[in-house]
Amino acid sequence: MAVNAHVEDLLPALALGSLEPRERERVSRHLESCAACRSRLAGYEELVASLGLAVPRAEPPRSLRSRVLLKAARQAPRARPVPPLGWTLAAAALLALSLGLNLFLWGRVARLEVASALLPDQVAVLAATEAAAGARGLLLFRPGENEATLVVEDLPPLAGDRQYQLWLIREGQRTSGGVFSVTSQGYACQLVTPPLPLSSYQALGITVEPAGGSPGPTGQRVMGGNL
Amino acid sequence: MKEGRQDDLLLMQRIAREDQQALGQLYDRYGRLVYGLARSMVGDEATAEEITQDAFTRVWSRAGTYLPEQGRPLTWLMRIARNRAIDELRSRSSRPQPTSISWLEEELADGGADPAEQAELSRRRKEVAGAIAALPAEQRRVLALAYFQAYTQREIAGILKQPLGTVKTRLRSAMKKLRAALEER
Repeated sequence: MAVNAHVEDLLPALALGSLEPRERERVSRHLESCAACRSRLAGYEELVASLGLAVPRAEPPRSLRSRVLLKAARQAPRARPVPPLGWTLAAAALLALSLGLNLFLWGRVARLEVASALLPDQVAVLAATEAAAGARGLLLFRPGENEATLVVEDLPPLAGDRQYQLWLIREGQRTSGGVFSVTSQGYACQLVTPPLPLSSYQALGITVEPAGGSPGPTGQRVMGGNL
Repeated sequence: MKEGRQDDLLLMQRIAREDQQALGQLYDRYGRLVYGLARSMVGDEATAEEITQDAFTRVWSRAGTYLPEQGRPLTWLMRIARNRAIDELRSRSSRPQPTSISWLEEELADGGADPAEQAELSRRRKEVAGAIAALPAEQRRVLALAYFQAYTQREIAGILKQPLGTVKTRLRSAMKKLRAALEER
């Protein structure tokens, strides 16, 4: 019993993660055979987690919500049943399918039903130039918002010193929509946050630029489309 | 009190069914808390964003394994976030200055100024802040070094130049007092 009492004294520090490795091992061994201590430890672990409630809250950047949802969307198992879609995504699906986008890309787009964050009301289709024949792309956006999601597929991977750069075109002026690289399969899914709402732009294009991007397009144009 | 928790449980069920809107709602509810915790622990915004993103996506990928008896969804989320921040801190050669981090004062934890905050969460935050504020200063200091900076008791003894036995006693006493104060009746 004395041994158990001693181990019990170590449970608060174990829950905090403040035990030395040797002590931790000793307590862990004891816990394997002691349901009462496991239950006490669970109580302390719940307490430690509760202590976070009294930490000052902080305002994260607005884009973090979209990034969280995008990352979750990308992690969703592929076998997952397609959830009920909003009409906008159903429209995006039809558009994508009618344009011959393959099911793989559609699966990705469907998962971008991230929609609670981005609720894309509109989809702009990007067409490939000869320089990237076979590439496909979509921009999902809400016209009045400064956030959109770019999805591309089958865009040739570039050498390490080059990246793709998205351009948003307004009255002939090109504004960078960000740089991105594609996976070895030519896929990228990128959050785009232009300075003006998407409704301010008339067209978009993608060029090959030095890594990190350029102030204006300098390289080969690989995709383009209208907004 | 139970309303908020049941609401969170429903959200967790929806997340387990891969309902992304539910994940968005969980983020709207607790994103600032998780980000605040991560920033308090690691000290810089970029890493805090990364930790927050990881915490929510881990909830997303593990929601199917969540069991209500393991604790409230919120504390589960906070635990995931803190563990991720601890991994980050322990991978560094130095940690943020201990003087700059602490818990809220009890009165500042009153969420009355924020109408969007659930009444239960507001009450709970105030309760936890009050229990921490009621600890003797030397216990609070030891607890803060363990909680925010993931130092072991031996490391804390070195930092505070106190005997290891004293640090152990203070940490244990602080945790027992908090548990007694916060245990649900």
